[in-house]
Order: sequence, then C-alpha cells, then structure tokens
Amino acid sequence: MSEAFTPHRYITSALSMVAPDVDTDRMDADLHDDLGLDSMDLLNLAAAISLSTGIEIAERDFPSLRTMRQLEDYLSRRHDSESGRSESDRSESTGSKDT
Amino acid sequence: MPDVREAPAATELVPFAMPSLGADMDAGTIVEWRITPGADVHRGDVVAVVQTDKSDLDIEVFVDGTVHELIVQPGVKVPVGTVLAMIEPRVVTKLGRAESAPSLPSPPLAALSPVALPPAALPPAAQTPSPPVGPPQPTPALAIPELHSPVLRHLAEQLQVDTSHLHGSGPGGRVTRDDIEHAAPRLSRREIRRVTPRARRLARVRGVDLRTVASVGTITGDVVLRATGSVDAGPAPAVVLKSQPDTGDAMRRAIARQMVKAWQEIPHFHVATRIDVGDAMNDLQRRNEGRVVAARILPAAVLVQAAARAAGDVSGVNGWWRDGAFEPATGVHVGIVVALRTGGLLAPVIHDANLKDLSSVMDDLRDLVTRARSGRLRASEVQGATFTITLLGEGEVETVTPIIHPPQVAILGLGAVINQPWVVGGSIEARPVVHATLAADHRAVDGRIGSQYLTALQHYLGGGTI
Repeated sequence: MSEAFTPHRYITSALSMVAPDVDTDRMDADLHDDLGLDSMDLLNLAAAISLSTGIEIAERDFPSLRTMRQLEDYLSRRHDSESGRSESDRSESTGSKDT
Repeated sequence: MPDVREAPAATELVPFAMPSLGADMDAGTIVEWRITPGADVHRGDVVAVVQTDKSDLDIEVFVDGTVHELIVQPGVKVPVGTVLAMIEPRVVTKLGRAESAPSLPSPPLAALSPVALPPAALPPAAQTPSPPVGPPQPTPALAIPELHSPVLRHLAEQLQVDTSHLHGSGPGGRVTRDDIEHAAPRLSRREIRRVTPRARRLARVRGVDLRTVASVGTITGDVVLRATGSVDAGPAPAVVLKSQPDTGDAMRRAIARQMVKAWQEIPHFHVATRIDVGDAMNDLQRRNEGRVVAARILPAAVLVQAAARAAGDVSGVNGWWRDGAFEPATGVHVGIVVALRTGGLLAPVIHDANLKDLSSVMDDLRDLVTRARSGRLRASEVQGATFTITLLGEGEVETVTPIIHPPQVAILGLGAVINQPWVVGGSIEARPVVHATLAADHRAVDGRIGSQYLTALQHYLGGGTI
C-alpha cells in the first residue's frame, strides 16, 4: 500500500491546477522565490494536495516546505507514519519520480 | 424614427444586453452561449461567456424567464448595450408567486420593462446598433419602501425599478445599488442615461434633442458634438473576429489605456504612514495555530478587512468622481488588484467587505484570486468597486504608490509586512510593520480626509480587533 503511494504525481497535478503556467520539473526550485507562487497559491496548493492525498499539511510544518522535493519528502513521511511505520524506518529516497 | 414602444407585443420581452464590465470597456465578444432558445433561466444564472480586452467573464442574467431568442452569435464583437438575446420573463405576482407571462403585462412587469421591444424592431446583430431612442416615458410613481438612501431612491426612480419587488442582497435584506442596477432592464439602463452638465449645455446651444441621441452609457459633451457632426468619430463598428485576439496583448493595451487616462485626468496626491501590525499578526497566528494549511487565514485578509472598514468609516474616499462631482457610495465594495503570473492585472471585487467577518473576507479573497488566475470570474465580480486595494504581499518591497482606477477616487497601496525597528515604550523592538500609502483624487478628496483614512486604518490594524 505505501509502495503504491506516489506523492510526486499528486504534487505535480496539484501544482499544475493551481499554477498552470509553472514548470513542474524543477524539483528543487523554491516555490515562492523561484516559481513565483504567492501565499494564496501555496495555500491552494496545500488544499489541493490534501484533497487528493487525504494528508493535511499542518500549519507549523508549512514554512519548511519550500520546494517540490521537500513537499514530496514530507508527504512520504506523513504517509508512512500514518500507515503505521515509525519515522526511523523511512527510507531517505528522494526524487522518486516514477515509483 | 419609429417609436418602438408602440409596437404591439403579445408578451413583453426583456432584452439581455452586452453589459459594461468596467469603466474602460466599450465592446465585448460572446465566446459561448450557455443557453438555447426555450431554456429556462433564473436570476443569477450564467448564460454566456464574454471576452473583454482583459479576460473572459461569465455573464449572469438578472431576470427569471425563458430564452426567447439569441440574437448575437459567438465571435461577433459588439458595443456595450447591444441586445444579445431576448428573454420572456416569468411574472411575479404581488403574492410573490411566479406565473408564466400573460398576454398583458401586469403592473410590476410594466415597471420593470418600460420598453416593449418586438424582436423585429431590433437592429441586426452585425450592424452597429444605434437603435432609435424614444422620448423617456414619464416616470411612473413607484412604491419604494425601505429605501432610505436618497441616492438609491433617485437611482431606482431613474431606472424605473420597483424596489418593493427586489430582494435586497445587502445586510438584513437591504437593497443595494447593485440590486437596483441588476433589476433594471438592460436596454432601459441604456435609454435612461446619465447626461453630463456639459452635454446638456451643448445640446441646448446646438438645439439637439438629447432623447434622440444614441449612446451607450453616459451622454457626454463629445457624444452631443458627434451627434451634431462636430466630431468625426462614430461608435466603433461591430467587427466579426476571424480569430481570437491575443488576450495578453489586449489586456496590456486595456491597462495602458486605463492608466494613461487615470494619470492624465486625475490630480493624484498621496498620504502615507507606517503601521505596526504586530498585534494583528499575533492574533492571526493564534487563530491559525492548530489549523491545517488549507484552512488558514492569510495576512492579506486582515489587511483587506481593515482597509474596507476604514473606507466605511471615512466615506470621503469611498465612491466615484462622476460628472464633475464626488458621488459617495452606499456600500464598501473593494476591488483587489490581482497580479497574474503571466502578466497583467485584474481587480475582482469583494462586495460589502467592511461588513464581513475575517473568515468571509478570506473565503472571498481566496475564491476571487484563484479564479482570476486559473478560472473565470463572473461579470458581477468585476463590477461596482467603490475603492481599490493593491497589496504587494510577501517579499521585501516596502512601498507602493498606486494609480487610482477611475471613476473611483482612492486606492490604498500596502507594502509587504516587514520586520522593522520600532519604538515601543521608549525602547526599540523589531516589529512587523506595513507601509500604507493612500493615493487620492484631489478633485474629490483633501489631505485631511486622506489622513483620516490612514488613521482609521491604523486603528483597525493596531487595535487587535480581529
């Protein structure tokens, strides 16, 4: 079940909905500074991700999620922990675009 | 010139005309009809998508009834006021029950539709519509209860809207200016027009009967001069578009036109101050804590609400400069400048923003900003602004000195909320500070009013009132 979870897909699809003109290949670009999303766009991005994945992004976590890769790691971590795995078991694999 | 009002009509059809979707719009193109002849429509239904220079907009209808005929085809660019479709209204009886339209109009319908226009009398869609304008009918005595504002009463009389049948959208069911304007049949809105003093003077001098002047919207002096052949400029002819114009370029041109006009015509002055928003931001943070990100309220909502409340208190900045005089608005309808990532701006409107709680302001803001950027706005959402706010949002830019959107008389520019050294009780602290700049039209507003406005804004942002 967790192996079927592909956060990358959810993020790119949410991003292309919120900001259709933004390049979704730039995994390490800062969503705000580099891709030009403002706070309203980021809020909508978080909402779209919550809707599609069922994972709510907490207010206190949000400031540290500045790139697509950070978002992806966060979602993987949350998904794993909600699937009953402990945080320490989490694989550090990042950029798993095509899992 | 035929008097179209005398043509016999089995049923009173209500014309649905190309609305004016901004002070700078003089024509629009139907991109798509969402209705077909015979379809039922209800007040507020989106019936068409219209392309303006700035964007595509969903256009609502403001009558309940049945679509009788679609007159203008998609792709045809027509001036504001052109009849696009005819609608057979459902008549509301005095008991409030809807009935199908009878062969003879009942009094309320007659009041709503002073012009019975048989479709045959309409100009062909592809030709410049300059329909004959009959002499205005004597205004029937209308029962207008519960309408306390003299400005609105006057407007209702002018547009021959019987407000006793209106469902007010304002607080407590109060009838607003928008309600009256929406209830007015589109053609009569065009027919019973505003006439500027200069136009009246020129008409008198040149012996022009203003009732025969075909014009969309306000009759200005230039319109009268055109009518007498003194100015060689007719209304723009309708153009059949072969392809969709580049909306980006068209938007740029529309912004250019509007800003040049504003900068050339409006004697701007500016007043500015820095406001410590530490308490307001702390309140907001407490409010957001524990919430999920999707439910958070952004600082922009706090700023917009405070700016709207201040405009409600200092009414001298809230309204329009029209016909050489300031016309105060009865509600505070705040235009929010939304920057599009692809370039350009839109200014959707939060209606009655001063009366809304913070969550509602945030909901409206989010909805409008999101749809301005990646969806589509409704016509009613870009109309009727009484005051505008531009927010720089995040980032490090401290000050913006904006240009007024005519016919409004003021615009507030808010810089980014930035931590600054601030004197608190005799010592210096780092506090989040916003730089507020009010641009005002010196024809309508004096520095004293501008200062009062910023003081009120300071009060709403500094007092921890959220």
